[in-house]
Amino acid sequence: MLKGLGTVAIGLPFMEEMLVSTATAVSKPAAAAVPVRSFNVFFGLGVPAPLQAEGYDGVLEPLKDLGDKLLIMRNVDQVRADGTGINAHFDGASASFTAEAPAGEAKSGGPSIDQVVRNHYYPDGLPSGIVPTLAAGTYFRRSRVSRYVHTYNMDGTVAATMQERPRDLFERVFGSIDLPEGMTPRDLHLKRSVLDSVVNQYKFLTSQRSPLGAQSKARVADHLDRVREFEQRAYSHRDLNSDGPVMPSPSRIKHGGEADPGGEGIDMQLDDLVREWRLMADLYALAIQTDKARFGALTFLAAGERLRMKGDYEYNGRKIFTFDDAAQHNKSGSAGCSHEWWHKFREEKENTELRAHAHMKMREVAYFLKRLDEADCIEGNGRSILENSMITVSTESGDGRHSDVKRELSGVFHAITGANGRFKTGQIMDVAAEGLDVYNTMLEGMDVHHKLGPSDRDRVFVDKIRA
Amino acid sequence: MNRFFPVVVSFLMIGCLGLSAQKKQPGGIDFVRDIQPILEALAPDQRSKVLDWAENGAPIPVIGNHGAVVQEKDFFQSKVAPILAKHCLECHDTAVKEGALDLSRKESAFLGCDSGEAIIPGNAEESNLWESVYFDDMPEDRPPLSQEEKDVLKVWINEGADWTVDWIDPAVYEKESSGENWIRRLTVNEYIETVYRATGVDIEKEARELLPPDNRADGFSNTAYNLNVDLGHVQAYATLAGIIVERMDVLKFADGFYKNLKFTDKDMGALLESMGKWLLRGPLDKHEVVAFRGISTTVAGSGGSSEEAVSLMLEAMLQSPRFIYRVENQRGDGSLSPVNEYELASRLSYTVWGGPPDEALMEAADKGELKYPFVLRKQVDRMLADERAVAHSAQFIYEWLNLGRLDNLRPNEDKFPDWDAALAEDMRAETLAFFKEVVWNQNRPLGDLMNAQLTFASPRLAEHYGLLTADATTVEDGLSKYDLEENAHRGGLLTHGSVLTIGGDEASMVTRGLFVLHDLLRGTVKPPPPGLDTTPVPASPGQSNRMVSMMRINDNACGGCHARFEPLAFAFEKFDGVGAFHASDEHGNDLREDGELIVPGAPEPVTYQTVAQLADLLAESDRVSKTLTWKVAQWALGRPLTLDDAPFLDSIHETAKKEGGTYSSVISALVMSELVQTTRTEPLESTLN
Repeated sequence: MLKGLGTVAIGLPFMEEMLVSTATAVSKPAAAAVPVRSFNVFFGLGVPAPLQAEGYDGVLEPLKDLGDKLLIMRNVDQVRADGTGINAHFDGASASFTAEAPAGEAKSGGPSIDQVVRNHYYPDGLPSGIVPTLAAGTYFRRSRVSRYVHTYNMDGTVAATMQERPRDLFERVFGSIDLPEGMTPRDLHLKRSVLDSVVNQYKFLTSQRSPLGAQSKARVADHLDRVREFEQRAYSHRDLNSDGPVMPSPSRIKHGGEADPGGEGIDMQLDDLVREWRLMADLYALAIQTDKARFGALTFLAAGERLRMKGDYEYNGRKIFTFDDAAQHNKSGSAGCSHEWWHKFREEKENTELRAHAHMKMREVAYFLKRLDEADCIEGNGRSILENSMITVSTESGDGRHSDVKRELSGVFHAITGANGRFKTGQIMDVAAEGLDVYNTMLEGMDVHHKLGPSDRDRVFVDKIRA
Repeated sequence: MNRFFPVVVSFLMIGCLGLSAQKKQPGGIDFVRDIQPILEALAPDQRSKVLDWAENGAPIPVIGNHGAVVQEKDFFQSKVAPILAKHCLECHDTAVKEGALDLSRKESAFLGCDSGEAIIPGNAEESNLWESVYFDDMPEDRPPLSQEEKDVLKVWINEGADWTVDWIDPAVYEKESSGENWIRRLTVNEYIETVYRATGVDIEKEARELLPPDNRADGFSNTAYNLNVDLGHVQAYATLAGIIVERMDVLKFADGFYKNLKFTDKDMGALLESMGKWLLRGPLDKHEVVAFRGISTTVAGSGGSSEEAVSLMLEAMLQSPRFIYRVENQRGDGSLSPVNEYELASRLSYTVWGGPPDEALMEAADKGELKYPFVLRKQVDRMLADERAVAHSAQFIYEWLNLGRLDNLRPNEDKFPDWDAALAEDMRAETLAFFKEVVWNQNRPLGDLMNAQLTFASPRLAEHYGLLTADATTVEDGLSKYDLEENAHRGGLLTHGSVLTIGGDEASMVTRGLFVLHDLLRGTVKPPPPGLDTTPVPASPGQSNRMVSMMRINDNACGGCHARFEPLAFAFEKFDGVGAFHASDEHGNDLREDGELIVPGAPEPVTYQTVAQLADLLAESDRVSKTLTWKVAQWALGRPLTLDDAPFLDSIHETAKKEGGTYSSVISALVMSELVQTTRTEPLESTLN
């Protein structure tokens, strides 16, 4: 895996941390050597249900090599997430990994499954040196946070800040805190005393004597976790990074506000996008492999993404399509974006352009998953990180008749990994179930008994997905 | 109602703070002389509630600034109206009245409909309303009511169908209270201002570079629930604290709080208490003094100087949760409770200035004076006269209209070959200067933002707009002031490029109309029903934007909702995607500006012929004025407003209106209201998690 990072020179870093983390991981005795992990992989715009039915002969072809390590689930219904307003992108994206409608522009109606698992297995926080939740991804449309963030705390707020550039992701995972040059041990000692007093105050505000209510305490507790992480990076591991990866080159594509000019979309060369995606995938996978991340989400484009793609798309040496969205639509601005192919989806038609876009995204999702399945990702139980982790791949929309909210939120593509033998793999299964029931079954499979969804709704398990 | 009524309420609330009204009379207020007559002016039920509380310790009555005792919401308000708003009013309100049924008002609801009586008090089984929802015939093409919702309607009708509001405003019921009370982290703007006012150090450049930006949620970037923290924040706060302290003359700064600086417990403790109270906006608890004192003893133990000790203690304070957050007591019995004096001082200063309390406010808090409405009002007036209030208000208009969006405006080059990227900055400058002129220099009602006949433009923007340079009268910051009295089509906020560009390159009627509906009229619309193709149809030869819009409006499936908001944008058809004015579009289609204004709840639409007429209608509309009150309040409170806030907002709006409906009057009324002076507490057991 380490060879693939392109512009990133990689050593094998952090062995000490890996040992510590593995030793302190809380997991089932039978899998003591394998930490509990859960990640959400999101891709924008989705795969229409009729195309999912084609299996690996259609746009899912790039996942075929991983077929024995994935359970592809068809007919997963997220209609309950249909909220107010005319935006199923937003509703569907918010429902990914939560099965809940949004509860605000930057808030989900409930936690994402990775956070439920994290909260269960690590109620007092993750072992030292591990990023509590790693949220990263490449996305451009950013009008509402739920379009691109796919990890939510138990209270529905965003679980971690999105790292949207490779350098941001690198810094978040592998960065150390630069203390001023020439600091003496005495200086460090004094700076430490400052941090101690800060930690004490945050601890007080999270204690039983705190004047704060529940939501505020949770927020301050989150801040305290970050302070401790800062403390650990600044003062505890200053000698461990000498063999670590070096900072990747600056991103070549637009980010931040300039990436989303009022929803009008931006021009994008396929090569530039793929280069960025792969660098992000490499870094995220490396974070998992070095046990710097156990929970979080990786995003491949926002929900309702608007890009005017250009470039030749090949797969396994085979020319699939030449992207030129604006010219093919014969439109400019938002009307010339790939997004519109989803509006134009008709089951009885060929949908060539949509197929090419969806196929290309599946190739990139597969690239990331394969990174976790390479020879150097084999763990103590003989399985790869991919096989041992609970990784859920999903998206915003199901049925391609994109303008139909009800149908759009039914049949939403899902794929999951086996989570160390807990779930079936090697199948494409018509689950015909609500996303809520699928997620609750996955949590139960992870021995997490928290129930997602309305309190007055009984849990319904989809037992056929369990091994 | 007597204008002194707020005095009565807050004065009586002294009791709940454990003070005797008779013993603690503020500034010459005499209970018998000043309060008794006002009590007598109250309605008997209001008076008895207040006196029962004062004399017998009955539950504190929540009373609005106008003397209207806010009753516990009744069954209709709390249970029935939300169901009607959520499921029925989309088709059965005053504007649409499908099947001749209007369920938004009592008189019309009981009149019945084409198919008979909708509501027969005491007899749900015979009422069309209950029957149609029971069998899931209604709502059409929407999810059916839950069993619980059906039961509520049945119980309500069978028990007499008591209808207790004049009009069900769907906007009021859009968000129910979640009961959540989020601590407020300082936004980047607030952090910069707080550092400057507390230490004298301008940290803007470094803070904007190091602190992660605050993301927008629910229309504003100061929404508390979304003010998360990441490692980047913690790292930035630590780095910034070091930079700030480096730039301070710490000994001189400390000398302002305590003059005998030594390492002894007594001296260092006294310094910490005084300096900490200023920096952390309220007195320190003992455990906090101990925590900071630990730093000075470490310095002493390592042979350091008192200057070094103070520097490090300042660094710690600048990273303290008490500095970075607005920490308040949120524990209690679950009711609304008054905030304490220092919390109120902070609420006041951050609301008016976006920064910390100054010395005068802290002194008033020290003396316990802020609980007295006349003192509080005096403070608000003082603060509103300060330049900080002007600067802070600019953040409101910036946030409300999302003016940051203009940084990223990149119209299609083929469609707009003459577009100059610098115009976007000019458009933002225009709106900010216009807001300052109308709101502060002319002190006009907020509604006048809609039709004030003036603007500010750079030569470049003036050319883009087609304004005559000869009209310019004043030049400031590269902008000239234009009198638009003679200008037929330009005038008021909605004709600014900063607003018109929200429609995108195609000048979308939908987007512009929804802006007017949501942001000015507080209207609501539901998603399109299933099976509709929502692909935007652009204008083409022989088919203008308005014609495309009319096709949607005349379509049975779309028209119910689109008729509510697209006519609101008709006035702007002559403005293209970048805000330039044309009589015809690129395809040669003639463009129009006449249309209809449909105000939510109004029985009939009002027609207008020109954009100027629409601007005048909006300026005069109480609905618009009230929406602006809601917007200012949401921004000031840092959270979406809910059903529970509605009665208070009604009161704030009425108070502000009586004082001119200006920005200052809204801020004053807000600060004097329960929304600022109280906090929703959480029962102790729920906070012990």
